[in-house]
Formats: sequence, C-alpha cells, structure tokens
Amino acid sequence: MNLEQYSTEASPDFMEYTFYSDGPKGTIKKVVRFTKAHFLTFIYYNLGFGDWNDNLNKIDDFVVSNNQDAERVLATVAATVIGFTNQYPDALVYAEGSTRSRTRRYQMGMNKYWKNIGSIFEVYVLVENEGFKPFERNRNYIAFVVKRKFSNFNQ
Amino acid sequence: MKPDDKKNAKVFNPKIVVNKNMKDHSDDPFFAKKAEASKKTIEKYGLPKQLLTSKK
Repeated sequence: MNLEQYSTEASPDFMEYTFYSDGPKGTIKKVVRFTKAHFLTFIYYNLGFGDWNDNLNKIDDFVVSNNQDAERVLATVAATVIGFTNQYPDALVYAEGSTRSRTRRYQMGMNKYWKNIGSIFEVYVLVENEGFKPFERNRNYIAFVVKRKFSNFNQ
Repeated sequence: MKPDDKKNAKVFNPKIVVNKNMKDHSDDPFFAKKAEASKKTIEKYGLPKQLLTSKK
C-alpha cells in the first residue's frame, strides 16, 4: 500500500519542494523548504511549510485552506522529508507547527503511521518543559526532530 | 534493514521530480522567520543528544 500523495517538484538542490493541493477550495500551491540552521557546532534543517498566497505574493502558514485533503497533504510533506533525506541522509530535520492545532495534526499523522515512520526515521519529540524524548504514541509535543535510519529504500 | 521495515518505508515512497526552473522561495521572510523561531526553541532545549551521536 502506498499512501495517496501529490506529485511534487523539487529544486535541483532538493532544499525546496512544491505541490498543488486539489479540493473543493480549488487548487492551492504548497511550498516546503528545508532551511539550514546552526546550533553550537551542529547543523540542522528547519522544515517550513505553507501555502503560496498569490495576492500577497508570499508564503502564508496561518491560512487554513480546508481543502479536505489534509491526510494527502501530510503524506506529501512526509514524502518531501524522505526526498530531502535521500540527498542529505545525515541531516537532522526539525519541524514545529505554526499553531497548536497544526502541531496536533502532525501528531495525529505520526501516531497513525508510526509503524511506517518509525521504520524510516529516528524520531524525538519536544515535550514542553521536559525537552526532547523518544517518540511515544499519544503524547503531546510542540516540535519534533527526525534523522534517517538508513539512506536508501534499496538497501 | 529488515524486510518489514523496507515494506513499511515504501508507504511513503516519494513521487518527486526535479524542476530546474522551479521558483525559488528561499528569500521569503516566512522561511527565515520559521528558522529563527526554531533556533530560539533549540537554544532553550538543545537537540536530542542521541541523534547527535548515533551512527547510521
């Protein structure tokens, strides 16, 4: 079984991805970007994800597009993390929802597909006032960090 | 990698095509703002030590 996802375009350096959500609210361009950042001597990549707003000519991650395809969109974003880490297998990817409800949505996706996600990634979740902990189902968190367990599906 | 892991991983098999002419959004303030916010959180909590030392 493959999860339904949107076809995605990547930039040549695999740092940025775009795809189009299609639903009752029309076609909405989604942009995912992995931004390189530093903490002490370590490098990590922040996963940024939002809707392209043609009127404002900028990304907007607070908009709730409500295109009734949340699971397909999340599966597509998850696929971009795989696409990115295929190219940068040692990368640490940090992700935090722009709102609590969005983080909660990520959490639900992680709970539902943990068997699959946990096969690909080491996952640590950030629990408020506690710090990073190994992922546990049904625990609330404010962000997460993932790292690939292996670099290629063909291994 | 265990055969079951391989099967589980394939659920997310990405459908990604490289587009050399793709519009670049790296200058969008949104991404800079998000990266800055992540730095503040990580400065407070650090990164998971297990991921900094684990070998693939």
